[in-house]
Amino acid sequence: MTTLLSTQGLSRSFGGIVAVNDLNLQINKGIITGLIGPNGAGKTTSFNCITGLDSPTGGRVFFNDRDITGFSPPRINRLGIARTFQNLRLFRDMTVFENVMVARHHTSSFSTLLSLLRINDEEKKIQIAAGHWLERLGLWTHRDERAQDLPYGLQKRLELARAMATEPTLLFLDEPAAGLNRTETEQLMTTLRDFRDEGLSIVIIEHDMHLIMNVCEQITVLNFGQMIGQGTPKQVRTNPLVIEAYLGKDDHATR
Amino acid sequence: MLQHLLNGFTVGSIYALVALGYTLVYGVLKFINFAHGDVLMIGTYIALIVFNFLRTFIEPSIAFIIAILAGMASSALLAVLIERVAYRPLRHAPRLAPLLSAIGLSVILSNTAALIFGTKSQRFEMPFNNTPIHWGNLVVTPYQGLILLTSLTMMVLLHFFIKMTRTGKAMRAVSEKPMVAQLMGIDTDRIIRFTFILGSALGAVAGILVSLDYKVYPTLGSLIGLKAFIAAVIGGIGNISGAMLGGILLGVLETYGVAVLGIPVGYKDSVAFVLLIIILLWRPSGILGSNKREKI
Ligand SMILES: Nc1ncnc2c1ncn2[C@@H]1O[C@H](COP(=O)(O)OP(=O)(O)OP(=O)(O)O)[C@@H](O)[C@H]1O
Ligand SMILES: [Mg+2]
Repeated sequence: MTTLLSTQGLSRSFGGIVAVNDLNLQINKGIITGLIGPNGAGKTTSFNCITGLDSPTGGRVFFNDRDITGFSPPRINRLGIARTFQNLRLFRDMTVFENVMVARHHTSSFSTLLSLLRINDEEKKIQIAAGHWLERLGLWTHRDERAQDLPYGLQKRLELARAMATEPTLLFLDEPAAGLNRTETEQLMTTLRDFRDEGLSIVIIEHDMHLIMNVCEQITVLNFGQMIGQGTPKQVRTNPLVIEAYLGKDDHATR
Repeated sequence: MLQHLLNGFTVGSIYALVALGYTLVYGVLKFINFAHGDVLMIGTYIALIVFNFLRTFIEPSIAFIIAILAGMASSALLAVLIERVAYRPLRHAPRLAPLLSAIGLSVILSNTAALIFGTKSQRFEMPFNNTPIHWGNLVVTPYQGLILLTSLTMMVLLHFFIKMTRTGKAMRAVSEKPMVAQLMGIDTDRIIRFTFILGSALGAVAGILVSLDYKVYPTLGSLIGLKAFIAAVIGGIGNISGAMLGGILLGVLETYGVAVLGIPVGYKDSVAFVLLIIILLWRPSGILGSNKREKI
């Protein structure tokens, strides 16, 4: 299997708190990787450091063998990395359609000018691409509604559609099933498997063990900012260190 | 009565154009660009110089159009420069720092203008005929017509620009969630720069239009800037329709205040402040401003 993204000695501390501690992650191409661990283990912070929202205090991030540490978020996005958030971060005042169209923004202002003058059909292409992702995620009929007026489950899906519209090769999902009911979670699992079958590589942070154990090929377990286990779902489930980290501490693990 | 409304609308549309500059920049940076008025003053001076130079060669009305474009371009250029050297380095500093930087710049700009252009006010010498037109008992000067037409057109264009175009959407995205906008591949620096260009170009147009009836002088920007800032706050700072509404409202009420309520002309400017206080007591975030409290 080929490595798509890796971190070497990734660290991030906030004053005295070491949120991520000398982490060596390895994300393989074409599979779904789970990133689990108790609350405060440093999962979200790792995502932030990889996607450029936060700067690591130490270590490096490699994507396709290229050192991308310290790259700006738009640059990282253009290289093919997208993400969603633990707490929804939609453009609440925009319509569903506009939310996804914004994700297709990265073209030059020159081409904006041209499309204003109707010299090229860039704008049309954006609408088609945005429409495609809305349709795939069952949001097309809601396209003219304001994002904040959607029910929670659909808002979660819109965030996924928006991330996909940036055409990533690697997708980071921070608790995509949080707040979803059983049916919605099953739907999400199907969607994620479909994306993977089409060649997308995915990393999921999730406390829902049913989802993690059923869609992930690889799982990495963090605790106190450090990796304490790694392997297939089966290996991880029987890893004594992992069991210890979760036992009595975390109620989600039993879900 | 209708006459006052028309006059009020004319002044108000000028306030609105300038208020848009404050509100657009506030939208993307959450910061009041106190140098805005002075940037538009400089643009107005440049326009005046270009106009005076060209009118000896060509038709004054054409010279005037070229002068407007030159004024817009120079204000935009100046704003981009200021953003780059005085605001961007302070973007992650405490909020007070860029504000002080802006106030300092405002002082520097108006004093530099006084130094270069002199403190004596100058005027655009008749770019075209300004004989009032009578419609029944309504009197409209061609200048008024030009002001109304130009500013309303600009506002309509801006509205569609923000709503329909990709850059407009990106501006809204940056203004709502800059971090997420970046993750969508949007270059926030570019959008911010563009916002300054847009706001100051609109401001320059307002400055030039207003000096048709009044004059050009170094503190022109501070006076009109203060009124427009109040208008932007009244309408809800950061809200584009709010800036337009606030500007028009302020212009109309000011005119009525003097003409109907008999407020002495010398006290005309106090109307803005009284209105500001009333509105802020009633709706702290302005008429169209969202009242959700900022998270601490
Ligand atoms: N901006 C910050 N400033 C200070 N401390 C922070 C900051 N962000 C995260 N932390 C701390 O870093 C640690 C790791 O947080 P992180 O959000 O990465 O955990 P997590 O694994 O995502 O947890 P959860 O499952 O609850 O989302 C926590 O102790 C948290 O309090
Ligand atoms: Mg988290």
